[in-house]
Amino acid sequence: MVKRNLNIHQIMWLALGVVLASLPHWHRLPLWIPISHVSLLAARIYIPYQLPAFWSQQKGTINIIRLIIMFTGVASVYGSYGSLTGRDVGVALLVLLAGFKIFESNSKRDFYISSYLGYFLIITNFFYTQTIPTATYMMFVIIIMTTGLIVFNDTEQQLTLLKRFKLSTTLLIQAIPLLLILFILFPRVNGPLWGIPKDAFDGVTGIDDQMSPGTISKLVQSNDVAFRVTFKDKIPEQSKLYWRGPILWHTDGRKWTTGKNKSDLEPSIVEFGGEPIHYDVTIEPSNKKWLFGLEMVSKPPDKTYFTHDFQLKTYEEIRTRKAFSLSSYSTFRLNKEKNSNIERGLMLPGTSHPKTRELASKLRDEFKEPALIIKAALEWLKDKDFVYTLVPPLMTDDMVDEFLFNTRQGFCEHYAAAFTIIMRAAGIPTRIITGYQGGEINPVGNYLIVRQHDAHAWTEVWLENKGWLRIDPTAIVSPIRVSEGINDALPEAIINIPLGLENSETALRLWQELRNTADMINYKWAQWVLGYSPEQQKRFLQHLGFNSIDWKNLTFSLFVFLGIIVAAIAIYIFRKTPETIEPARKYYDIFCKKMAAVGLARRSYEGPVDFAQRILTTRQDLESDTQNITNLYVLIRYCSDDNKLLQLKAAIKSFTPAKIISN
Amino acid sequence: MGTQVFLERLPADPSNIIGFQSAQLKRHRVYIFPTTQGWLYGMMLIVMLLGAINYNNSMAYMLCFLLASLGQVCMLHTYRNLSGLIITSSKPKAVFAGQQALFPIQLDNRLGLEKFSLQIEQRKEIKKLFLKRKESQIISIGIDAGKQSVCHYPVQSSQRGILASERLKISSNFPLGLFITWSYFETEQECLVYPAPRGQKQLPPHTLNKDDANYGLQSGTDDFIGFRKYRPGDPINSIAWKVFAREQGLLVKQFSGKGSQTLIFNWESVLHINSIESRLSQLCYWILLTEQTSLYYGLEIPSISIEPGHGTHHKELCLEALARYGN
Repeated sequence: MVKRNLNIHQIMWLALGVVLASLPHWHRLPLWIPISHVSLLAARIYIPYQLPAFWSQQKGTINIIRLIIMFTGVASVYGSYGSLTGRDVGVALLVLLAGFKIFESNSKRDFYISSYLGYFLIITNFFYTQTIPTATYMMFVIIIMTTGLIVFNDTEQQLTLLKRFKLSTTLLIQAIPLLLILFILFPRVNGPLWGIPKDAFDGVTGIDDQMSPGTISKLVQSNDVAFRVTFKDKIPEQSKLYWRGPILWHTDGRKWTTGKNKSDLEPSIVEFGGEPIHYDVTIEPSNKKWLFGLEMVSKPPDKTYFTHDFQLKTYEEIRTRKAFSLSSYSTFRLNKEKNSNIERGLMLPGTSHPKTRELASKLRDEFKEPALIIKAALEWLKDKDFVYTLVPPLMTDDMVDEFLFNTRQGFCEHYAAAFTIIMRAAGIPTRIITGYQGGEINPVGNYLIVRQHDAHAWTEVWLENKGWLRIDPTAIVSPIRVSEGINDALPEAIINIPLGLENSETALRLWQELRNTADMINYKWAQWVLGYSPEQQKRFLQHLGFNSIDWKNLTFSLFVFLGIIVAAIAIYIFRKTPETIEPARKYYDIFCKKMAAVGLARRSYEGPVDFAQRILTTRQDLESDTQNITNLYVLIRYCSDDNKLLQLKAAIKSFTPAKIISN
Repeated sequence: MGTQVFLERLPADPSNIIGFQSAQLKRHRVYIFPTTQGWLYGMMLIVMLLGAINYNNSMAYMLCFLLASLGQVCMLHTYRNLSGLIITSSKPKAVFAGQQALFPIQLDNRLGLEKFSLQIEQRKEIKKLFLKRKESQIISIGIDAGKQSVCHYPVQSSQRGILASERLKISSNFPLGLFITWSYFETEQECLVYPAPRGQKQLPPHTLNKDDANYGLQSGTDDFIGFRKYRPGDPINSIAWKVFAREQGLLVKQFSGKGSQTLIFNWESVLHINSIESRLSQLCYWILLTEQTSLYYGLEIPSISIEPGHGTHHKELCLEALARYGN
C-alpha cells in the first residue's frame, strides 16, 4: 500500500527549509539542478494526496521508476562535471538528492531523513563562505527547519504558526550557551582526517606562483582581503610596504614561473640595518603554501621557512585564517648569490622579443656600467609616455615588444616583465617579485588591510658588490601607485562607492568609516570564530587561566561546564509557573508597602483584619482609611465581589499615611 | 501495591470525587530515551563533526555544536512535556459484550505548563508465528497549562463480566521527535460488561404477583387509589409534586388498572437454552425490551434476585447482576 502519511502542511515546511538551505548554492550549480530540485518539490506538493489505487499495487514498478530517476540524476551530474567526486559535485548531488527524497517522502522516516539532508545542505554552504551574513541567513534557515520538526510533532495542532516559530526560536536560544561551551572547549584536532577534494578551496583568490599578462590586473578588481597586519608600533609609510611573495625566474616569453624547484639551495646571506619593525600578519585562507612579509623579514617564524630567494613559505597550504608574528628591517642587503642563480637571472626565452633585445644592446653599448644601464632604461620608460592602466589593449603577438614599442599601456605585471627582459638582454641578472604593495589603514582598529587589489609585481636586479636591489618600474611610470596606493594611482576607481556618493565628501567619509567598521567586525569574527584553531584554542584558554591544556583536561572541563549549563536550563524549564497574582492582592500589597514606610509592616502571619486592628491600636488617625481598604479587600478576596476592585484601587491610590515621629 | 511502584497516590483532595484514583507522574518515574530519529540525528552530528574537523571549518563546527545543543535542550523539553501531570480516573460506563468500553482518564495539568501531543496507549505484544508484533490503540491529547482534560481510552470488550483496565503507557516526543519520554500508570478501573442482548423477542409469560395492586402501573385512565412511597426508578410524572411541595415527602400517585402487570425473569424461563452465556444474553435482551415498555420487571437468577421495578437505575441493577453472574 502506498500511503501518504504526511500531510501537505508538513511537506510544505520541509520543502521550504530545504529550498532555503540550497538557495545560496543555486548560482554555483548548473541551471538544471536547481530547476530539477524545485520541480521535484513542487511535484510532491501538487501530486494528489493519495496515489490512485492502481499505483498502490505497483510497488515494484514504483521502485524501478525511483531507480531510473536516481540513476538519471547521478548520470546527469557526471555529464555536467565529468566526475563524481569533489566538493562541487557533492553539493550538486546533495541538492538533487534532497529534492528527490522529499518527492518520495511518505513516512515519518522519510520526513526526518529529508530534514537531516536539509541540515547537511546548510553545512555545505559553509565550505564556500563563512561570513557573518551567511551565518545569519543559515541561522534563519535552521529556525525554519526546526519549526518544520515542531510542525511534524504537534499532532494535536495546539500551536499557532507564530507559536511554533517562537518555540523553535526558544529552543535554539536555549541551545546557545551549550553551543558556546562546546565551541570553546571541545578538543580541537588539526585536520584533515582524510583527503580534501581538490576543489574544496576553489574560488579563493590570491597571488599565484606564476604570472602572465592579466593575472594581477584581474586580482586588482577584487576587494577581498588578502591579509591584515597589526603593527606593534606605528605603521610604516606606504612606499615602504612591499609585501614579498613568490619570486619568478623563468619565462617562456609570455608566462612567468618560479622555475624548477630549487629546494636544495640554502638561502643566501642577508644583512640588516636600522630598527626592526614588529608586526602580526593574519592571512586569509589562500590554499597556497606561502605568506607575505614586509621586505625584508629577519627570521622565518614557526612552521615557515625561507626559500633561497627569500620567499616565506609554509609547510602546509593555508586553508584557514592564520596569524604569524614577524619582524622586518626596511634596510637590508641581499649580497651573496650563487653563480647558478646569477645565470638563471639572465635566461631569455629563445629568440623572442627581438626589438627589446635591440634596445637592450643599444643601452649596454652606450652605458657599459650596469648601474647606468638600469638608470637609462628607467629613464627611457619615463620618457616614452607609458600609461598605467588596469585595462591594457589586447596583446597577442610578442607581448613584450608590442607593449614596449607599440601599445605602451599596461599594468604592473607588464612593466615588471618588460623591464626584466630589457635587463636580462643587457646582461644584468634580474628576477620578478610578486606580492602586494601598500595597504589601507583601518583607523577603527588601527591596523592595515591588504586587499587583493594591492597585488603588485616588481623586480630585483643583481649588481656585483651591491647584491639584489629592488627596482620597481611601475613606480617610474606611476609614482603615485607606490606612494599613495592603488586607489589613487588608477583612473578607474576600484573601491566600490555606491552611486550618488562620489560627489559628497561627508558621505564618502561616512561610507569609508562604515566600511572600516564592517571590516573590523569581519576581522574579529574571522580571528575569533573562523580562526579558532587548536593553537588559538590553547592560547585563548591559557589567557582564561587554564594551565595544562590537553584533551583529557578539555574533555573533563567540557563535561563539567555542559553539566552546569544543562542543569541551569533544566531549572529554568522546570520552574514553577508563576502564580497569577490577583489584582486585589496587588493593590493591597501597595497598601502594605505604604504602611511599612511609616513603620507598620504587616507581619507574615497576619491576616488583613488582624493587621488593620494592629494599625488602629497605634494610629487612630488612619482609622477610616484602614477600615475602608480592609473591608473592600476582604470583600473582593473572600466574597468574590469583583465590582469593588476600582473602588479599592482608588482608595489605595489616595491613601497617604502621614509619618508620625514617636516620642 | 506490588505492581504500583511507580504510582503516587495523591492524598484525598476535595476536588477529587470520592472513588477516583489518581497517579501523579513523579519526575523520577518518567523515562526518556532517544527515538530512532534521535539516533539518526546523532549519527548525522557525528558525520558533521568529522566533516568540520576534516575541513577545519569553524562554521561547520558551529552548526554541529548548535544542533547537538538543540538535541540536548529538546531532551529537557520533551521530559518537561510529561512531568508533573496528575492522572486520575473514574468509573467507565458499562457496555454490552462486543462493544467498545471507554475508560475515562483525567489528565490534570495544574502543576505545569502546556502539554503537547501526549499519547496514551496500551501495549499488547502479540505473537504471530515468530514475529513479535506490538499492537496498540493510541490516543493523542494536549492539555493547556493549569487545565484538566478528559480522554477516553477505548478497549474492545469481548465477553461478559468485568473488564479491568490494564497498564497504560503515556508518552510524548514533542517538540522535535528526537526523544521519547514515557511513564506507565495503572488506573485500576473496572468496566462492567453486560451480556450481549440476544435471543428471542417473545417475552416470557407474565408472572402476576399476588399483590399486584401494590406494583400497579399508571395506565392513566383508571381511578386514583392512593399514594405510596417513592422508589428509585418511578416515572417522574407519577410523583405527587403537590404533596412534595407541602413537604410531606416524595410520594407516588397510584392508579388502579388492568394494565398493572409485573414480569419476573427467572432462570426457569431460560432453562431451555443450552449455554449459560446465551441464557444471560436472552435475559438481558428481555430486560432491555421490557424497559422500553411500561411494565415492571424483576429478576431471579441463581444467587441473586431483584424485586420488580422500573427505570434506568433498576435496569442497570439487573444488568449488573447478569454481568456479575458466576463471579
